[in-house]
Amino acid sequence: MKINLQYKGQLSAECDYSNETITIDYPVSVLDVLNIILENKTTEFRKLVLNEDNIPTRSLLIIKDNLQVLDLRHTMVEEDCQINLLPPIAGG
Amino acid sequence: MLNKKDQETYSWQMDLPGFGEREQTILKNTTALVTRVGGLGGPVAQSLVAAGIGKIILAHKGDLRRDDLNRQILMSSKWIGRPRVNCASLTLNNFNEDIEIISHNDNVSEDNIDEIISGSNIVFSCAPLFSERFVLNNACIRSNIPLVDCSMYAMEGRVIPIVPGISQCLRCIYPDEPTHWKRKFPVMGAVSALVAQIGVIEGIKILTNFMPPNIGSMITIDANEPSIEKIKLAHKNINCKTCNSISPR
Repeated sequence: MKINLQYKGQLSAECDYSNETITIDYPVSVLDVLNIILENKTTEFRKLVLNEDNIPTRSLLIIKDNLQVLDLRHTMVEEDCQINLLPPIAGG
Repeated sequence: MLNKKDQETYSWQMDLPGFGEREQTILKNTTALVTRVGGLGGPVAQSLVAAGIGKIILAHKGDLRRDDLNRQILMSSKWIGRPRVNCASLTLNNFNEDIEIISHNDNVSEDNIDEIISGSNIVFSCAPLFSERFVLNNACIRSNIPLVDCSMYAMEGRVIPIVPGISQCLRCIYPDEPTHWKRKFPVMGAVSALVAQIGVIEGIKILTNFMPPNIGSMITIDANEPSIEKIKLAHKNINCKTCNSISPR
């Protein structure tokens, strides 16, 4: 199935693009999707997503179809869903 | 109560569905704190003044520099070297002489926030550092004051309307320190002004309830697409150290 991803803020700047579509087999969780996309990303990109313990930082907003996801392991993704990753921004 | 001059000044605004003399009077009786008066805070303050807010408190430390001028629309190239809050006050007062303006040539901190926020009915957070945003968040939760957190980066912006005790606070949303954030960020003035306008609209909704404010949501603005979307935030974080440790006064 196809999953649409959008990278916001510094994530977009870090990988030079803001949209990506990946194809993966069902069933898959949001956490699985995150691990898959991190496989081919830079160290700086990974630092924006993961904390020192290599788990997703709690200040990264992960949005699935316009709803914030907290339980990454148990939230499953569906065909054609949209996942957005929003690192905190504070520009004023 | 509105006087004749108010009724004439705000007559077009009071034609809005659901927005009449009652709502305009609420704005007139409101004191808003805006921190800082740069690319985001400047247009926030300007639109609040245009909307008829009664009193505005500005906090921003430092003097105007040439590299502020691509976005800080309350300033003037003639004023380089002068305190930004003084420049902002002058511009706002020229625009609307009936507004009371208090200015602090200082950024908010734990040491001064109680004095700066005193008397505010609503706060607009437009600071470029998370440390200042968290100080404001804590103070608003402690004092039970609504907070509109406005932020931007490059072509994007976010607005989070926060009502203490009801919605997620900034710490509920960002529980870990955003250590990656850097003081200097890419900014086009038109984008920060766009984000500011969404923030002001949400603030006016919170104050007057002329339309339901987007409590519990984050509004994201992307000038690339372009798009304005509403994200439903997860429920209030029951482990939030701010919500749990600060008792409302």
